[in-house]
Amino acid sequence: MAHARIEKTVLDSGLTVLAVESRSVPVFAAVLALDAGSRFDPAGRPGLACLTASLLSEGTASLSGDAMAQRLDALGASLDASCAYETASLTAVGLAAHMREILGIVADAVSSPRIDPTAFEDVRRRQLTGISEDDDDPYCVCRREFFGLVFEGHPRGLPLEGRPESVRGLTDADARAFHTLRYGPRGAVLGLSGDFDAREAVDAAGSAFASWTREVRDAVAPPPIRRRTGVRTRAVEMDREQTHVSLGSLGLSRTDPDYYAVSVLDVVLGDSPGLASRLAARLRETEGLAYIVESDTVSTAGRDPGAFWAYTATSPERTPRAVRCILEEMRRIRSEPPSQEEVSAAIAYLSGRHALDRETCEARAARLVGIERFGLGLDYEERYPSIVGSVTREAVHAAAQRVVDPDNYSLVVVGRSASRSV
Amino acid sequence: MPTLPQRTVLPNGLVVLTAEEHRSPLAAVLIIYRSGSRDEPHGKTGLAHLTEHMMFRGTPAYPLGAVDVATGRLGGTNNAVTTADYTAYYFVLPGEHWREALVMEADRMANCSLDRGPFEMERGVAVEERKMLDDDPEAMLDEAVAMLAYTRHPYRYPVIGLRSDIEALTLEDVAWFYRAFYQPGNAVLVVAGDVDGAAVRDAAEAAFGSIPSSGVPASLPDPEPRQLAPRRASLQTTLRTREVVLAFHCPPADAEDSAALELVAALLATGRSSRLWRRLVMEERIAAEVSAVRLLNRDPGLFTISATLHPGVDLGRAEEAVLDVIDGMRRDGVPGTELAKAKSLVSVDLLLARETDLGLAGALGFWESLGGWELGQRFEGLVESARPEDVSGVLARYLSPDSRNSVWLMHG
Repeated sequence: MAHARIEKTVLDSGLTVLAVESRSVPVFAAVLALDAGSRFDPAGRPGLACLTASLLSEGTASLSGDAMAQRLDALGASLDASCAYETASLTAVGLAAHMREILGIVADAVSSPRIDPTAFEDVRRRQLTGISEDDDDPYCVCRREFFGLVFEGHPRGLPLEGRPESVRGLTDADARAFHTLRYGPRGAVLGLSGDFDAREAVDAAGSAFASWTREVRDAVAPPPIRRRTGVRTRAVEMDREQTHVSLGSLGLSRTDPDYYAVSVLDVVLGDSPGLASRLAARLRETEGLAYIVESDTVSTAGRDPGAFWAYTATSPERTPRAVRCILEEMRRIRSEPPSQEEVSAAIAYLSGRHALDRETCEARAARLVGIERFGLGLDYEERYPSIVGSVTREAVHAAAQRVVDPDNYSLVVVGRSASRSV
Repeated sequence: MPTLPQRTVLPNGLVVLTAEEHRSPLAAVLIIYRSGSRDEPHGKTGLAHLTEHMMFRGTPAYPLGAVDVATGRLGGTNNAVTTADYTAYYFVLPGEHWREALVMEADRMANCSLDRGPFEMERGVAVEERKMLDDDPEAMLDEAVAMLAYTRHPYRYPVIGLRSDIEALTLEDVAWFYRAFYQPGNAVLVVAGDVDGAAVRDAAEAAFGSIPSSGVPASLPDPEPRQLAPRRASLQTTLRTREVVLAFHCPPADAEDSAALELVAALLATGRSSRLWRRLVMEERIAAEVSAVRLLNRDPGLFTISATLHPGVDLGRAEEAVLDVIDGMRRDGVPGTELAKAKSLVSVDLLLARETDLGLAGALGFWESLGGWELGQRFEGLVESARPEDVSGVLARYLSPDSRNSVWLMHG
């Protein structure tokens, strides 16, 4: 089946707009991403980027939060603000017939959010409660501490939402300043997908965002990320039935030449359907140790490198054995190169999943953003099967030597008697 | 207008639904067995779920792990889900490979290997899954709500099962459940997406036609007696999270009132103009999140409202605020414009649910397993035509404070 054509325009303001038709149901999705993630939190203010992003759905200079909610809900539309390490995003989903009106609200929200003391206090209170909930969740604690260890001393190692003490110290003036500094159209990307003519959608976006022209300053690049050597461990005691284990090290960036070989490696080692990966076959199928076991490198790869991350949860008494099994499989993928059979199966799976990952308008819109941000090219979707199809067994083996390191890694164990397992 | 499915029934009772949707080069293959944890014998909680796990332990033709490996090779994914009412297995894969999925599904309906070693291994994995849920406050709250709201009906017990029950399950238990319920006469097969419906029906006949049906044991769970007074429970934990959940008994999914209850859920908690968001999050500033969910079940289910509270907020005050919001709606009715808003929100949700082939197959299979895929259409029609008095009616009939079940998650 032919891929629908992507329309692309760069507005005078610098905002890049990409649109692709998707005619399955009469809806559309818009994803607007800006370089305003936690990577850009000012020193000593972790949590500010996240808080500022949340403020985008609290109303605008001309539209109270309540009025904005009434308008969106009356259209049956949703508008979600979110924040990740590199980007802050607004995602809108609604009927294609309402696209112009909804894009107008998105443009208003991103360009002139209402950041007053009341809205700020509301959002801060919710963020603090969210942090408190995450602190109760051993999975969240395990992941947070793992990134903290792998990226110690770097903004990537800091928690996205901040910590209670840092968030309590933030002010609405901080949020206004962050918005002024980071929220401009230059470098921002808007992806649109839905039941529309792509050309018309791009035009609609051009009108909706015409008055968003604020110039933002170039951000200061964070320091380079250092690869750590040796085994670094952290144990967090929590009285729970299961122990949560994260193990891994520095990964790679989305634009790294090894990215596709590592994608195949991920599938072979820990990211296959059901029981097909080596880690699932070993820990779940052969040893019966855990319900969930997985590993992944590519999902955190951005402009900055992410992490190779292996994860499982099991009973406290089985934890040392689970850690040993993960390390053994990490050694094995380096010493025993994946078979041609494993590599071919992984490539077939990735090619198929490529279509599965583009089933919804929202997913397509988000992929357009990635295509632009990482310079993948407008024909990327067509080219993907051949790119991943050309990955060789040797390349996967070399990738394993690079990202999977059973001698130099960070290990975080969260649970009962956690310190006995590290 | 959504594509209408074609329905055929094989002589052995298997219902086959096909929905051709040539919007992406994909297809979903889904089979739903009309049996889940509500069909477990007393003291055997977790049996339906463990049987589902064993279905991945292989057959002589597709030994352990072979279905997953084959699925990956075809460029697809597969999984399964066990609920109180049904057990569903599904594949999503490139459209040209739907036949392979059909063959694997038919094979494990007839030939699942039930061997002792793998069974014991899988029971251990199920115990780990049980422990995972023990650590999940939301799962524990759901379980506490069901235990409180149901006194007789098996919806009282979690699908994963009680730990002591899971540990005592035997291979013979699984063999019984498998033989009793994994039959063509108890199943609905749905193939949706980039397929040729006639070819699917022929292939379904070829793959499943020779599997016999021997009659499915009648499951007649004890009906839940009418709740006469409010019930209350507190989960004392070491967690900082504080949450209030209120649950009310409501009619089965296929009842006419279902649509109005869906609208009540949207009026209460979908979007930031919803009544609970405005009251608890924006006006009183006591909650960080609110939700309202009407669970669609074969037997009478629950309408559940929950609020995640800020630290220090009195749980009783939050419960009073929720009850007051419901009372206000019941007393003053819901204006037409507000009802229209709720309809827009629910309609877009229903559209989005059909956006993927699996979503489409799931909706068709779900309603068919309850009596006919047309029930889904009827549900959508009832949402569209609901009047303010229908909303008032269900509020009065089901959301009475006198029949509430309230569970508080609190720091003990």
